[in-house]
Amino acid sequence: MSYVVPSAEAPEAAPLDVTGASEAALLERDGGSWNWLRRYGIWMALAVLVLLLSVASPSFRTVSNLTNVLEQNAMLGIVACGMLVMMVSGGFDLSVGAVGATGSVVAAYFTDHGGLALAIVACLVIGIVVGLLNGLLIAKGGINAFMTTFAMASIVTGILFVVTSAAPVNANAGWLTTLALGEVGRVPDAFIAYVVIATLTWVLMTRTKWGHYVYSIGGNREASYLSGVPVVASQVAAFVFGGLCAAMGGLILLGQSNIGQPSSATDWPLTAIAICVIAGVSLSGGEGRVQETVAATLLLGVVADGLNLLNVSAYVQPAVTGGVILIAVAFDKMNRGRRLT
Amino acid sequence: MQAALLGGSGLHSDEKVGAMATESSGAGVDGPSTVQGAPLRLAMRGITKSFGDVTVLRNADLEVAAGEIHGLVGQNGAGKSTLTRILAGGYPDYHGTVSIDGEAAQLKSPHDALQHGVAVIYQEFSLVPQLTVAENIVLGVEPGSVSYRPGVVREIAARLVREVGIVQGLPLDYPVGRLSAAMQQRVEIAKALTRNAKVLVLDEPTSRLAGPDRERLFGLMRRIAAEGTALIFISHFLDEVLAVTSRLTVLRDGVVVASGRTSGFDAVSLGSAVMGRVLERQEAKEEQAPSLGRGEVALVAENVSCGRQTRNVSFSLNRGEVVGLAGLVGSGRSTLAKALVGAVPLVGGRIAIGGGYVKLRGPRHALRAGVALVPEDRRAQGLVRVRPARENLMLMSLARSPSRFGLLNPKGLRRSARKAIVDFSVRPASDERRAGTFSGGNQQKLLLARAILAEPDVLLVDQPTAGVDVGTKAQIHRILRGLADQKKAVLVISDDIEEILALSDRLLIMRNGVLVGERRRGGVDKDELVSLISVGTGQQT
Ligand SMILES: Nc1ncnc2c1ncn2[C@@H]1O[C@H](COP(=O)(O)OP(=O)(O)OP(=O)(O)O)[C@@H](O)[C@H]1O
Ligand SMILES: [Mg+2]
Repeated sequence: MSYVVPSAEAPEAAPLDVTGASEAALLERDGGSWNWLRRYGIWMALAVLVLLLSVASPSFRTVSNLTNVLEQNAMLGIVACGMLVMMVSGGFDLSVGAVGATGSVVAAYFTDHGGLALAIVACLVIGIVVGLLNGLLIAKGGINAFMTTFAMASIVTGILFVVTSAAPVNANAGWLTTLALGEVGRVPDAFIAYVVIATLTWVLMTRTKWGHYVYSIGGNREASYLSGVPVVASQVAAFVFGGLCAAMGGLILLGQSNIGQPSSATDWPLTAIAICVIAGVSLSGGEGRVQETVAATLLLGVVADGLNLLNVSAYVQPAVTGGVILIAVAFDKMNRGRRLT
Repeated sequence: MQAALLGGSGLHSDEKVGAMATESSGAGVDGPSTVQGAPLRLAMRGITKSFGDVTVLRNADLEVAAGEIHGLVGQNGAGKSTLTRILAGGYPDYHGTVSIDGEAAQLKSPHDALQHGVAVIYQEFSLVPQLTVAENIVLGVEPGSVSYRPGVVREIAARLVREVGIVQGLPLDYPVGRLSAAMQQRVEIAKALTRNAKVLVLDEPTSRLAGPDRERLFGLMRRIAAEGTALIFISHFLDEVLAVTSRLTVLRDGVVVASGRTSGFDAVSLGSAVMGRVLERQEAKEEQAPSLGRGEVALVAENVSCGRQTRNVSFSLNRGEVVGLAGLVGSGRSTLAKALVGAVPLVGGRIAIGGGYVKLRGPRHALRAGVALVPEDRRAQGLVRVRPARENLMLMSLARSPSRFGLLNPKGLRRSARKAIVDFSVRPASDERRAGTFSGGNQQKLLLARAILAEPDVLLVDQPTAGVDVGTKAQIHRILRGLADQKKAVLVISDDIEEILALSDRLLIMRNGVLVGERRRGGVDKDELVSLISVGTGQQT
């Protein structure tokens, strides 16, 4: 068989010149200031709030109160790190509370039957297994994240209640109590653990190929797939990481109370999602950074603490939290410009 | 693949240099353009692919030699992109065999295909909007096994782009989502070219490129082919296919109906092979049927400015006429069109619709006022891909007057949708399929039908026939002309100079964000128009 090769003299190909038309003209809209505002706006809000509360309430500005805020929010902060990764990948997880509760109950049991090390491992394994199941169903099975993780939460919680008959399990938490309640200098151990995990999450998300792929599949799954990105594996790993973070939250929970309480941690999923949303993590995936998630965690923590100190009824607090979420989201939308139009 | 990227060999892998040597010696003996017995690089045999119980490819064969540019043509929905995607590893459940350089290749994932040296410029882009241009270019082939270094990725992208030697001036650090469709097309091209391909598929790369850039792309394709890569070129512009390719394959309804040397075809025979019937010369007929005469003014733009892209633009659109807006990519045409429906805020100037000034709050508001826009980028700004075609078709009509169909008249909805699908010969003619599963050209038809169903007084169309096949193109031209005859005002933006000349009663010419001229039908010819839109922009050399 013979083939024809078109004009073999290979004419010099002038570049497709995009500088000819001014660069700005080829960009749909200006990069503008929204990036800056999104990055630092939430830190500024946090700073302003801390300043106002320091003025308004003498008890707020005490060292013991401030360390208390750090300690109180470390647990949810860790859970939110996992949520961040799952949300960036284009999903989210309603079963983090179930994992936290189950993990802490199982760990509580093992502290008395086999020791602390076994307890910690068992708790983390629960996180990994649930995360793996979630990830496989969502990434490989293509079932939507809401259905999958809602069902998973119900199943896990259901089993937990049947096995424990809904009764708390006493623990001998030992070192976990130190982790949850101890301090180094004046810095709470739990907060140090949080900083370590947040830093780890940052490294994973920005300095590993996996993290980069999590962003890319959240941004455009199809394009990532066609570009040769291991879409399923990356997203499954994101859910495993999320499960692990929830389990670590469960360990701190156990350390705090020294008791495995099956009915605990029910507010985790929505609070963690709220933290991420406040931090500007896109619900449809592909966007969101650890730094803002940390700021959002502290912001919600400071709001709750402030309300407490100002003697605002605990019943009002959820409404205030809701307000903060709405303000953050509205602010974000405004800064992004008319993206949807 | 990764080693090659790291080693910086770009397109010049050893085997290609070898292949090039063979060819050029062959060329020396046999004259300028033929080579006897160039090795077969790609052979796809008996390819069959079904979605559910619909078979979209039946026993298709495709053979491409090293150094050959092979044309793949066919109507919208013929199966061209499906064949491409199989080659790219995107449909692991195909039947048939693929071999590359004589070795059987199992294409079970895009990763496999990359390993086999297949790269694709996709019709619907394969870019991640949130990632930067550099990150997109290197996506999936980042160096290293675990760690990711943004600086290194950027360097690699910069070097690859430089080595490939085209597509200069890409803003490597911009998120792709902030680039216009035309710019994204360049990123898509750059991305595929840097994949060091043995087989390079270009799925309608010219549907978003204007004149001079097309020529540059063709030059580049010839250069790549001369290096021994097998190229598959898909296009609805048959004259391009005739000019650029050496062999071609014609698909109709998933079956190969013709294939052979390009020299054995001419415009007429290729047109009839594609359509399965003889094609009339549409443009010639249109020239003879100008509008029935100008009606009252429907829309006036006064000193409209929106940033640097569009400055101080004034013009009016009259009922009963088709106005063409000609200009290069980046000249501000699309921004202007968006400003006319309030999708881009005005920095200065004002707009009057139907005689009164309005401050447009957004496209929905514009729609209520009677102005509809068909956007250029159907993926990002167009269809709701996961909803049925029917719902997509009715979307704008509902926004225009929520009570017209009520929510209680699904029958009326269905009837209008079905009629539109027939009018625009959408294939397959099903209004229940999800919009995202239609072929590229058919999605374009849905988008246009959706706007027209809303019965606007003023219709703005950005690239009305991007990716649409020859037969349907003529039909869309008839429909646009028909709208003008029904006393609507139509504004057409198109990169296709022939199209805009044939359609427009009046031409507005834009350059670097300002309106530089206006011509009546017949008052300008093709060459003059090309120089009018490009003079002084540095785009024409
Ligand atoms: N995911 C899908 N599910 C169901 N049908 C599909 C899917 N993708 C494509 N099809 C169908 O397969 C057929 C071939 O589509 P394809 O995109 O290959 O056409 P094409 O030749 O590229 O057309 P165009 O010129 O419009 O791009 C069409 O009828 C299309 O509707
Ligand atoms: Mg196609």
